[in-house]
Amino acid sequence: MGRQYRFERPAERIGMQRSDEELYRLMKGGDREAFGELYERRAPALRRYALHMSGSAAAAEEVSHEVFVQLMRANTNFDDQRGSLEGWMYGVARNLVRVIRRQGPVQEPVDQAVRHDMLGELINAESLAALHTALRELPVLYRDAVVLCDLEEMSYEESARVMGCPVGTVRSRLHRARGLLAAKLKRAQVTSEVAVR
Amino acid sequence: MNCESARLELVECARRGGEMPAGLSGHVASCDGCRSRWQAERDLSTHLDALRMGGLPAGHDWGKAVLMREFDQRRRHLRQVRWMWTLSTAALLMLSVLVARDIRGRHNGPEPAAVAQSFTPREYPEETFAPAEEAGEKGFIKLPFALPPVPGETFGIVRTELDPGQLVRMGVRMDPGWNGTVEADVLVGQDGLAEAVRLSNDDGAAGETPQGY
Repeated sequence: MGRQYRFERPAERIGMQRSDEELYRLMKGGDREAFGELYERRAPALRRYALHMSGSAAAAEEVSHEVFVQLMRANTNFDDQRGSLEGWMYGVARNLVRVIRRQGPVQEPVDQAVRHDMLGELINAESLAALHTALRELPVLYRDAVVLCDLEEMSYEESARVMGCPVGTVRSRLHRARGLLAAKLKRAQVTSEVAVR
Repeated sequence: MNCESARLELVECARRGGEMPAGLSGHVASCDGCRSRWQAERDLSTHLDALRMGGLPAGHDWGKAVLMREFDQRRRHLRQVRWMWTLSTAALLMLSVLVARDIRGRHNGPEPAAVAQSFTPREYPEETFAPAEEAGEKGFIKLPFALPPVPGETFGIVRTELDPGQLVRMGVRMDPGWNGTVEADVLVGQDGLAEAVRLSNDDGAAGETPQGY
């Protein structure tokens, strides 16, 4: 008689996961592990979001850290009746990025182009840097839509929850933002080609 | 299909990275503007994919460590605050119980007159307090329970108001129906204890003043 194995399906694993709000409640009760789990789950996405929104890795690190510091505070204004913890965290991160940007231009350019290899042959570093610059020049609401929907790969519904606006608004902002980005990218590519010649 | 609806669809199509539906591809093939937009959208999607896959600069390990340390500190602080609150609440509760008991004891305690009534008078010999007499303070009656004065001891006189209960406890015989206060001089020894008492006669209700001995 052969041994019986049980394979865990991803859906089951997801089903076993505790929600952010549950982890938050445990964390508020002093559960260190819950806080660690919440950090592991949300910190990378928050850092990525802050990086794309601010264009600075240092600022991204600072923002993601500060979000968790605010979450720890006893008088934090998160209320699970009003929205999800994820939305609250992105909201705090967005405000922090605004504060950082208001303090002055971000000096440190994100040098991501040299880091990726898979698309390295197709996309040169200049055009990626141009895209990043174009992204940073977008109005905040448009940039939010691109970062959440296209870079964080959130659905329109999730993005709408995070941004606190209707799904239709997210879609129209994204379409306009993409139009602006495409135009800027094209202009940058033309300039680059002229410079090469 | 017009250009406006085609552009809405082709943005979504470029984002998904799939093939265009037949209707849309037919329109794109026949419309230069939409074809150019389709190219731009595909190009943008490729660039955004590259940006996303470019990854993230690795987070500093100390970032989490710092947060966890801060979390521990806050938790400790919170625990201390909770303990302080618990202890203060317990102390407050105990205090209020004591105060309540004290107040109830006062309210439920026998009235001075009742004390006088319930007290069984004993006969004590009336005796003047010699040291006071010698000092020219007349009318002091030695309290029956007081210890004899020590040679060389000094005394103080305290004027106060005494109620029937206090007078009975000092060994003064009381009219059970009397329920007032009387002014008295209490002679106090160096040990702080009363040695003798002199009832004042200027009370006005001479007939009701208790009789001392």
